[in-house]
Order: sequence, then structure tokens, then C-alpha cells
Amino acid sequence: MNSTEKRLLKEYRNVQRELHGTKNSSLRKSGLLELKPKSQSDMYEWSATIEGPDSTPYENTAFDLNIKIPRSYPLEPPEIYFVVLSDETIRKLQGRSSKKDVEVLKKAPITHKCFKMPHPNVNFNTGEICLDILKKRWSPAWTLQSAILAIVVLLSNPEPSSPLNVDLANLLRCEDETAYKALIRFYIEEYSAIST
Amino acid sequence: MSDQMDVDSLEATPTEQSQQQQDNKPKKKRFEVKKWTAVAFWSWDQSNETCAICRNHLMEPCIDCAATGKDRSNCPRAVGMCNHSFHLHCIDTWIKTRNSCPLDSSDWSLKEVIQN
Repeated sequence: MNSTEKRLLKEYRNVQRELHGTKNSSLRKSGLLELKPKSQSDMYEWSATIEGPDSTPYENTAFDLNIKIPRSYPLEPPEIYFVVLSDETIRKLQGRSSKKDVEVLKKAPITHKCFKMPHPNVNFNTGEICLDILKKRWSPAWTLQSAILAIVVLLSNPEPSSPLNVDLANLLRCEDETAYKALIRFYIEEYSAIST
Repeated sequence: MSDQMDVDSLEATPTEQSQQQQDNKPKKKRFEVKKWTAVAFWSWDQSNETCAICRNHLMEPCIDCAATGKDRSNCPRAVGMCNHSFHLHCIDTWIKTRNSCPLDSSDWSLKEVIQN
């Protein structure tokens, strides 16, 4: 086991202890629901689930992230993407549950998972995230956990000056908050399915 | 000269007093110390105790040295001008990527290397 894998194992132990070791995990409260390798055989592919922060258009919605870890981690940043599915796949997922189920679940806390990410700093079609700490300002002192939490913070603090989604960034620049929130909500309702 | 004079007089005073006390028979003690609890504070001489790069404790060898079974005497720690410390091996590999402190992203310059 090399030093990258050792550090990842250390991070995995810490994050699992904090997520599932205590009943009221502060990590869950700050929006991180799950963070773990996709399979036991590969430490370099992780997935995460986050919850949109309260009093933002993303609240009560879960989002999945894919994490690709370079062999030189932590000297190089991990590649983190929002999971974006094709319209067709989302329709299939939505079709699995009846309309009534969706309505019921929409009222419960953390009801659905959205498979597109409408955000000024996220590419709508690829899920690519524009965040300085994942590119030029990366430092090995960051962890997967802190990087994911930085993405949760980005949801409530969009940065319209470096957009990957020009339409949403323009609404934000025009300070049309009503339209901005309504458009995000529309996409979320449109592309969500019940989380499994 | 005056310093020496002061010292002399200071030394003289207690002996004079003790002589006086002996002359006047032992006085009743004014108070007696029954219990005395000393409290000391200490802290590391560094602002962080784990290496932010490999996440091992700085008093232990870095993740690479630990893997190859080397002991900590072969793995010194490096302290920067910003007072953040890392294993020398760890910071050496990082500054090839970018010459900045991983913790505060100020320019990295080495203040000292401490042998464990």
C-alpha cells in the first residue's frame, strides 16, 4: 500500500467515524450525507452525497458527486463532478415510482435526489465544478471531506464572475433573485427522482 | 561596584534577622503551609501537531517512512517562517508543485529543521 492509499484509508476511517459513529453527526448537519469509495477494490474512485443547504433553492434535495483521485494525491487535487444523468435515464428513474409516491415524498424532509445541477459555477451538462481550491488554489492540507464541504458552501455562495452556467450567472448579476431561485427550483423539480 | 554592595547587604539582612529571632526565642508561626498544589501549563512549540500533508503526527515519522519501517530519527520535521510544521519529506515533495505553505498559502520559506 503506497502513501496515497494510506492517507485515503485514514480519511475513510475518519469520515465514517464522524458520519456514522455518533447519532447527531455534525458532518451530516453541515450537509455531507455520505462519502466513501465506490467499491472496496478501488481506492481511487469515490462517491459522495450532499444535501442542499437550508434557505437556498437547493434545500431538502440530495445531490450525488463523483470523485476521481489522482495517483499523486494529496499533491494533486481530486477531480470532483456532480453526477449528471441524461434526461432519458432520469425519466426512467422517475417512472419507477408512481406520481403519488413522489408527491408524498416531496413533503418529507430530504425527499428527492436531483440528477442535474443548476448552479452558476457548475456545468449543467457535465457536472464540472468551477472552484479555485479544486484547481489552482489546491493545497495538500485539504481533505476529500473538506473539499466536499467547500462545494456545499459554494451552493449557498455562488460566484457569478466565473460562471459555467451563464444563464444562471446572468440572473444573479442582474440581481433578479426571484427569477434565479425560481429557475433553480424548476430544474430541481424537473430532474429529481426519489432517492434510493 | 554598587551591584556588589547591594548583594552584600541583601545577604547580610537575613542572617541578622535570623540571629535576632534566635535571640528572642522562636516566635509562634504565623501560618503554616499544609498543602501546596503546583499548576504548570505547557504547549507544543509549533502551531500544528499533525502533518497536514500526510496526516501523521509530527512526533511520528511521515507516512512513507512509517511504511518502510524507518524510525523517527530519520524523519525530521520542518518549520516554516509562518510557524507551520510538516515532515521535511512531505513539504519537500509539495514545494515542487507550488512554493507555498499548505496551511495558509503564504510563500514557503524554511525557518528550521528539527531532528526528532
